[in-house]
This record gives sequence, C-alpha cells and structure tokens, in this order.
Amino acid sequence: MEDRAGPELFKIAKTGLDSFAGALKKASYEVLAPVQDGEATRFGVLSDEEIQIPRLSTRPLKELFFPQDEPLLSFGCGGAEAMSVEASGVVASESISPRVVLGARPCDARSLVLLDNVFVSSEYRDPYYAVRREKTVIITFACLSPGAACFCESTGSGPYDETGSDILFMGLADSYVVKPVSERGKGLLKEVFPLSEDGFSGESCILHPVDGEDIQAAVDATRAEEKLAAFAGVPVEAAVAALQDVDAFDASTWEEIYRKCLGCAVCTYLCPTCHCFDIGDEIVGASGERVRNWDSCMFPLFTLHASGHNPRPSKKERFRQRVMHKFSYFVENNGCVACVGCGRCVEACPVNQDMRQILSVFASRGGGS
Amino acid sequence: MNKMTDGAAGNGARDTIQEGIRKIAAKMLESGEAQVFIGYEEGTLPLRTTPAFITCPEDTVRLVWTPFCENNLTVYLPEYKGRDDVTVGLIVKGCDVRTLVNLILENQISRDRVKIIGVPCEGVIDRAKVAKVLGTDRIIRDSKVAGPSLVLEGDGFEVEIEIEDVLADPCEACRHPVPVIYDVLAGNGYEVSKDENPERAYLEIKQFVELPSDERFSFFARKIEECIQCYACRQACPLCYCPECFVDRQTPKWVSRWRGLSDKILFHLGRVLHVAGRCVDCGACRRACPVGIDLRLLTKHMEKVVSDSFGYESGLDLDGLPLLATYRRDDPDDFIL
Repeated sequence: MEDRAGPELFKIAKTGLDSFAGALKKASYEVLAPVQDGEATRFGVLSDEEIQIPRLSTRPLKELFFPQDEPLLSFGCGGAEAMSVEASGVVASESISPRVVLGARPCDARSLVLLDNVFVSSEYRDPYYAVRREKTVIITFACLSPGAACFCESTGSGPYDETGSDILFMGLADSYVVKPVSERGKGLLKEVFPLSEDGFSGESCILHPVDGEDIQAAVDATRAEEKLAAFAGVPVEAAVAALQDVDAFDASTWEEIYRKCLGCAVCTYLCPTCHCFDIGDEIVGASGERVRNWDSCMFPLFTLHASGHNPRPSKKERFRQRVMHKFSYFVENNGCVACVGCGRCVEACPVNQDMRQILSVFASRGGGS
Repeated sequence: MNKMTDGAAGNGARDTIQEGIRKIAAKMLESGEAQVFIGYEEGTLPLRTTPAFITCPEDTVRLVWTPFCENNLTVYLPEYKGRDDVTVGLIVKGCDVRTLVNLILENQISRDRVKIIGVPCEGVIDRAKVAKVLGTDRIIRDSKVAGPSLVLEGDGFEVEIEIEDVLADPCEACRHPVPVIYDVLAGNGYEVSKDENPERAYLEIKQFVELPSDERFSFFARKIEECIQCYACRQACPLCYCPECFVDRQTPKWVSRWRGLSDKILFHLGRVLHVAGRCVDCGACRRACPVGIDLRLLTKHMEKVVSDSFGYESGLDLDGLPLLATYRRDDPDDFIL
C-alpha cells in the first residue's frame, strides 16, 4: 500500500464527522455506525442523528455480518399428501446494498479477519457472510484511551491496529488524521471525495490532504509507549503454549476457575469472534424457513445428544471449551488466537469472571497443572 | 433508604463486618462445619467484587465486604443439592437470605447443609448509575469506598460521589436489610435502618402500571426487542434452577429462537410468572442483563400483585409454605384475566 499515487493522509475536523457521514449517504452508501438501543449501543443504520463514537459499543461488530438470526432459505410444504419442499435459494444476500461501517474500533475490525477464517476460508464459503463482507467498507477509529478491561495489545492487536480496516481515523486534539489502509478504502475516498484542483477534496472541503510526515509525528505522540502499555500486560502467548499442552484438557485448574461461572451466554454473544450457530426449521402452516441463529457453548443444549447423553455435562466442561476454542483449537486451525482483547466478556460478565486472569493462571502454572 | 445508624458511618463498620466474616469463615472451615465457603473477593475491575469459593481457612483473608458485593451467592446452592458430604458456608445479605429461605422451602438445599453468615446490608452500588453520574466517556481506573462516599479515579480526574445516590434500585426501598435467618450475624450490634413505607418500593412501577395497556405493551415490546437471549437474567436468578428451562426444551419445542418478538416475550413472561410469589427483588436479573433491560418492572409488579392479593411477602418464613403451595377457598382471583 505504500507506493500508491495521491495523498497518503488526510485530515478532517472532529466537527466534520456528520458531513462525512452525509457525503457517504449521498453517494448511496448505507452508513452503519454505533447507535443507541435502549441502554446499550450497537451497530445500526445511522439515520439523521449525530454520529457518536463510544469507547466501545456494547454489542460487537460481528452482527452486521453474522446476524443473531437469519433465514437461510424458505420453503413451502404442499400439504399432507404431497410434501413438496421447495427451496427458494439464498434469501438475504441479494438485499444487501453497498455499505460503510463508520466508527468501528480496531479490535472489532480485526475480529472480522479472524471470522473470515471460519466463514470464507479456502475450504468453505458462507454466502450470507461473504456477501456482507464484500459489500462493506470498514472505517475504524483508533483508540486513545483504554477501558478498564482492554487488552488488545496482548492479543497481537492494538489501539492503532489496521488489520481489517479499510480506512483508519486517528484522533488528534480537534481533528482526525484519515489514513486509507486498503485499496478499497482509498477507492471509497476517491469516489466520495474527489480531489479538486486547489487540492481540497469533496464539495464541502471537509477532507484535506495533509503532509504525511508532520501528521505522522503528531499521531506518534498520541500513541506513546506508556499509553500502549495500558492495553497490554496479559501473557497470551505463554497461556496459549500452556493450553496447547497435551495435559491442559485435564488440568485441575479448570476445577478451580469454572465455579463462579453462571452458564449464561453474555461472554459468547458479546464476543466479537465467537461464531457458533445452530440451524433449525421454523414452520408455520404450509410454509417455513430454515433459520440460522447464534448458539453458545455455555448452554447445556449446545452439545446435548438426541440420546440424552451430553459430552459436556457440567459448566466445567463448557467453560473449558470456551477457553480452549479461543486459545488452543483456533490457534491450531488458523494460527492465531480467537480473541482481540476488547474486554467485553470481562466487563459484561455478571460475576466478573475475567479471561485475563484465566490466561495469567495458565501462563504461570502451565497446562499440566 | 438505608442509612447507617452507626456514628462512625463507614469503613469502620464495614471493616468490622469484613473482619467478622473472615474469622467466622475460617472457623467454619477449620472445624469442618463447612467444607466450602462462598463469599466475595476483590474483583478485577473498579466497582466490582467477584464470588470466591474457599476451602482452606488461610484463604479466608481474601474475603471482602464492600458496597460492591452485588452478587446473590445463593444462586450456587442448587448445585450442591443432594450432596450430603458437603456443607456450604456462605455470606448472605438481607435479600439474598430470602432466596435462600425459598430454596430451602422448595427442597433445593437442606437447611442443615448451609451455614449462613448474615450481613446487615446498607445496599449495593448500581454500576450503571455510577457511569451515568460520572459520564459514560470517563473511564474509571480505581474505586474506593470512604465512609458514605465513593471515590472514583480515572485519567485526569478524581471524583467523590455519595454512595446513597448510586444505590441499586431495590436497595433504595429495602425493607429487610438484616437477614431474617442466619447462623452467625457478622458485625455484631451493627444496625442499618430500613424503609418502613411498603408503598415506596412500588413508586417506581406505579407510573408505568397506570399507563394505558397499549402504551405499556409497546414500551414492553420495545424493551424486549433489545433482548439478545443470552439468558443471563435466568442464570443469575437463584430461583431459576430448573434443570431444563422450558425455552431449552426440544420435544415439544416451546420457543424458537426466531426473529420474532413473540418468542422473546414468551420467555420473559414465562420467567416472570414462574418467579411470581417467589421473587424477593434482589435485583440479580437486572444487574446481569448485558443490554440494560430493566426486568424489575415486571417482577416488581408481580410482587405487588402477590402482596395485594394474598398479603404474602416471599422468603421471610422458614416454617411457612410457598405461596403457590397453598390454597384457600376465598383466594382472590380478580387478577386473572
């Protein structure tokens, strides 16, 4: 990306965000941004309200690509004598219009790249997920201030991580430095904010090309080492090594750490990378839909066999599965942990079960303990 | 509102209670009276404690008592059902003990398998209220309790707020701050005042109940639409202990996890009816909800219906019967649609 023509960096006033969103809408993009939903925030269509970028949305970005429930196909059953089932094909994917996510955080943007391993790998291509990914440009806002549960640096990400982003906004005092990260991001800026002859771009001059070096220095000052340290401090690598130990599965440590878990799905449903689902047919009268919806390894039903046998009979086995999937099995399959360190599971857990602590315990004790 | 009647009003009394809890718990574990002790220890985030399961007397130094001890620990007791080899010691607040009374009445745990340390409770903090008072953009790095105040530190700020202003809703109108049963009461002689006005507890729902039914329904539907079906409310509720919840049942399947609102409503109404006459308003469901739905609007109304119709208050009498296990010919039925 380094040697492309045209300006490398732009600048926009913080007060210009709404105009920026307006320009995207005018260019027929659906703008998806953090919106208030009751007490919570989640990504939704930005209508006329002012854009607000919270430190971290309550609900993760994944639901724009992998919604909590979604019909995969619909069918008709032709009555009792002739049960003719007719699939109407992919329902949702054709209705997705080109869209821009405005206001992701680096952890959420990175989570999409991790989810790609599952939904658009070389082996499988999930058309529902894939079409949404293809039609969505991700604009991410770098973080300046970590929350009390943030640990993105420890997972290989960080508050300025560009992974998964098409454009990165980096905050200065009263403006953002806008960095096109991918060709796609660059293309979007070119299309929506064409450069005019006097060097300003866009009809309302909201996006200014700027001198890369000066700006980079200003950005570097905001990402000082001591600030980054606040996003780190969890020994993820050592924990992964411990959990990949052949004895980790039977470690007595599980016995100790699972106890306070209530067995709800807060951690999995708010996790930007948890992606397990269930598929079922919902039939009313003579027609029905095959629906896919989120499922959680925290629920007993997740592994309950038709025979009544459950290979993960207690919260201990279920809790172990969540940790092992993220920090052992996913690493084995995809070469990276299935965690971006957003801290949602830590903050929202009703009993303050803390993944950072669990990783630290395994890192210090090793897997065989 | 609970006010501490102790002149020292503050950490002196809390520290005494904490010291008491540690000593009593250590003694229970040493003497073999209890094999496991469930209490609270320091959490990993500001304003939090976390449940601690302690088996060694020396580990009881980890136990703490602060206004952050929000969880109702009786939720863990049904897991020990039928375990005749284990007696569980645990800390209960005034509300928690009432769920414990119900668990005993409903045969989920036997009275002689629990050792109860009661704590006179001055209320727990509602973290969402703290965030609102402070402004949600300000990140709290550290929280300390100093007498009647809460000291919050963050990047470039130190703010002191009154604990009284950020108490959880159920605590604001608590009528039973001192546990109705216990084996030992921590902080001997320490008294907390209670709210004597039974109507006060229902003030918050009064306005809602008086709305026309279509407005109530549209409000309710809008809130329930926000539900992500994580079932944290169910899991955090000590009285939701069914081995298989009706929503998880596959044959017959009562609830689909479809896009529709009706299944979410079915769950919430099913749950609230299932805890009717049992719910003690400990607030665990409300606190557990990750998207902030105030489920107490439903449970609190149910509590009022039960109180008005049957003069029954749940979880106060270990020698009585659960409301739904009793029948009188003159039981009112005018609340039935």
